[in-house]
Amino acid sequence: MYFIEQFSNWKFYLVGAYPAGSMGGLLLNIVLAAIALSLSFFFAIILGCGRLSPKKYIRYPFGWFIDIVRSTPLLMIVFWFYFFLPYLLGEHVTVFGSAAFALVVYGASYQAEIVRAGILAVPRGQMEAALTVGLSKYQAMRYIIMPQAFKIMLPSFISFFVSLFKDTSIAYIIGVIELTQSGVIVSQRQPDRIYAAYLCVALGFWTVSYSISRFATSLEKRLGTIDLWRFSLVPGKR
Amino acid sequence: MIKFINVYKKFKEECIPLNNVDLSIAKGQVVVVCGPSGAGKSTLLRVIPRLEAIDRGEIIIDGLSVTNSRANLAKVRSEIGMVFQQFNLFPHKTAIQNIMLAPMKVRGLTRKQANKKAMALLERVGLVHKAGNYPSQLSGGEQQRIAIARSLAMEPGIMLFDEPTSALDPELIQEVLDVMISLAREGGMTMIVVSHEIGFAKKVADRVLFMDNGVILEDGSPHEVLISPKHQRARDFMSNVLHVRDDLREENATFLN
Amino acid sequence: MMVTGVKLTLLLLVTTTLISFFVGTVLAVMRVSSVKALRILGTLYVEICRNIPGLFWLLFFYFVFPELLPSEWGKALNTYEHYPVVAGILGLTVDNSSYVSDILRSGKLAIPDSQKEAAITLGLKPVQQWLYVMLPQMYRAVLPPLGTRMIHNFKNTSLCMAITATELTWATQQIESLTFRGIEATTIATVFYIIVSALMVAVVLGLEKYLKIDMTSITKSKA
Repeated sequence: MYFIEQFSNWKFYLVGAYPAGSMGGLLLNIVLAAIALSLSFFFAIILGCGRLSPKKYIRYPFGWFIDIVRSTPLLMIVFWFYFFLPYLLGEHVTVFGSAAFALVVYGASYQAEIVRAGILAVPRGQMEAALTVGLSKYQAMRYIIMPQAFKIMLPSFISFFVSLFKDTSIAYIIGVIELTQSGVIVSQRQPDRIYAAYLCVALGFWTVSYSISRFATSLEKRLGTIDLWRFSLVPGKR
Repeated sequence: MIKFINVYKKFKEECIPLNNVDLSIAKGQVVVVCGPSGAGKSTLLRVIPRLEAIDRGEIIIDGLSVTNSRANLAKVRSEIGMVFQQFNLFPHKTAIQNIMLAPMKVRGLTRKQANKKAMALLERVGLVHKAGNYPSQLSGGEQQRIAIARSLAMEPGIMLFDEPTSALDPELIQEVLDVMISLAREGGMTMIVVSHEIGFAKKVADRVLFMDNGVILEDGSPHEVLISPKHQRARDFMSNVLHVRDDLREENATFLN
Repeated sequence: MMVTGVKLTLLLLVTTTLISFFVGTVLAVMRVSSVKALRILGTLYVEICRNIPGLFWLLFFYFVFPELLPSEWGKALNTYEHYPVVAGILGLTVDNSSYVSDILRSGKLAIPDSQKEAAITLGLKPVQQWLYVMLPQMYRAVLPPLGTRMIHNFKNTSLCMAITATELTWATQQIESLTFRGIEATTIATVFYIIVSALMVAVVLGLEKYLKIDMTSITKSKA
C-alpha cells in the first residue's frame, strides 16, 4: 500500500492541475514541443532556403543568424526572451510564452540546417531536369525538389522532435510547471516521495522520447534514408 | 605442418564451402589452390587462423589444434601471415607504420628495432622510397607489396595468400608475383596461395589443389593438375579460364618484349 | 563573478568532454562486442540515458544521488562546497557519453570487417585491435558529428546553473538580480558562448583536414 501511495500524484505529473486548473506536467512538455516544432518548421524552411540563396546579401545574414543561434545555449536564448521580450513588446509575457518563443527560434535554426542538408541531398540533375521541361525555379522547388527533400528530411525531423521534446525541460529553470518542475515540487513538499517523484519524471520523458525515436528508426528503415540530425555536420559546414 | 581432419563448414543451406576436407601440407611446401568462384578456396584459407569457425572436424597446425583451444589459437595466429585480396592496409597509418605496428605491439620490439626491420622488408619488396606514404597514395600493386612486407615482419612460418592479385590492374600483377616468387624460392616458408596465376604455379608451386563445391578434386604436382587433370570438371575449368588467360599473358609478354 | 563563471564553464567543458569520450568509447565497444551480456548492458545504458533530458540527470545527481548513498556519505556530499560542480560533471557526462557511444558505433559501421581480420592475422590481441586499428579509424570517420556533439555538450554546461554551480550563465543571472545589469552580462556571456563554439568548430575542421584519410583504398572492391 505504501508503495502505491508514493505514486498517488500521478495525475499531477501527467497533466498538472488540468482541467480544473492550469495545464502542467508531461502534457505541457508535449504541447510546448508540438507548438515549437510546428511554428519553427515554417521559419526553418525560410531560413534554410535563404541560406541556400545564390545572392550573397541574402545568404550571409541568414547564415549568420542560424550560426549565432546554434552557437548559443538554449538556456541563454530562453533568458533573452524571458528578460527582454517585455521591453520589446511593452507588456508582460508569461513564462510559458517566453519558453515557447525561445524554442521556436532555437528549433527554426536547427531545422533550417536539416532543410538545407535535405535540399542539398537531392541530386543536382533534378533541378536541371525540372528547368529544362519549362518549370520556373519556384515551381521546380515546390513540385520537384521539396517533395524529394522532405522524404530525406523526415527521419531527421522526427529525431529533432525528440531532442526538442527533451529540451522543453529547460522551461523548468524559468519556473514553468512542466514535468521536471512537478517532480521537484513533489519531492520538496513530500521528501519521502523523492524517489517516486524522480522516477515518474524519468519515466515520463523516457516513454515519450523512446516511442518517437523507435518510430524514427522504423521510418528510416522503410524510407532508406539516414538521420541527418543525429549525425549532423558541424554547423556552417557544407 | 598444417593438417585438416574431416573439416566441414556450412554457411547457409546449399552453400557448403568445406565438405569434409582432409588435407595435409608439409613444412616448406608451396601450395597453389585454384577452382571456380564459390568453390571454398578462400574459406579453406580463412579457417586456418580461424577468421571463420568450422562446424565439424579439426585443424592442427604445428601439432596444436586451433579448433577448440583459445590459447593455441593466439599462439598459432602469430605464426601465420595472411595477405588479402583487398590488401587491408590500415589507412590511418603510413606504409612503414603498417609494417612496424605488430612487431612492436605483439613481439615487443623497440621502435628502433621495428624501424630497422621494416626498412629491411621495404628494401626487399622494393618500396623503401614509399615508406612515409599513406595507403591511399600507393598503387594497388604497391599496397599489396606493403601488405606482404607487413605479414613478413612477424616472421611467420606460414603465409596465406587469398587471391593476392585479383583486385589489381593487369599491369600491376607482375610486381606482386615477383615478390611472391622470390619468397617461394628462398624456401623454408610454408605458402598456401589461392590464385589463378598459372605462371606462378608452374614456376614455384610444389603442389596444386583444384577445389569445387567444397571438395578437393585434384591434388598433385603442377603438371598433373594443370595440364592433365583427372576430372572433367577440372579439365573444363583449366581450358576455359586458365589457359586462355595464360595464353593472353604470354602473348602480352612477347608483345612487350 | 563573470571571470569565475567563465573558468567554471571551461572546467566543465574540459572534464565532461574527456570523461564522456572515455565512457562513450567503452560503451561503443561494449555495444559491438561479441559478448551478448556486454552488448545488452551497453544498449540499455544508451537507450535509457539518451531518452531522458540532460537537465534531469543534473537534478538527479544533485538532489537524489546523495540520498541513495549511506547517510554519512550523503551528508558529506550535501555539505561539500563544490558538490554542485561534481553533480554537474556527472550529469553532463551521463547525457553526453550516451551520444558519443551512439556516434562512434555508427563509425564502426563505416569500417570494413576485413580491417579487423588483418589485425587478427597480424597477431594483435583484441584490446590492441581496438586501440591501434579500429578506434583510430572510427574516430576519424565520425569527427564532424562528434564535434557537433561536443559543442552541444559545451552549451549544455549552462544547465548547471539549475543546480547552483557558479558557471557563466549562473553568473549572468546573479548579476541581473544583484545589479540589474543583466543585459550587459547576458550579452557578454552570449558572445563568449558563440566565440568558444566557433573555436571548437575551427578545431574540428582543422583536425578533420589534418587527420583526413582516404578510405577509398580499403572500401573499393572489385571481386
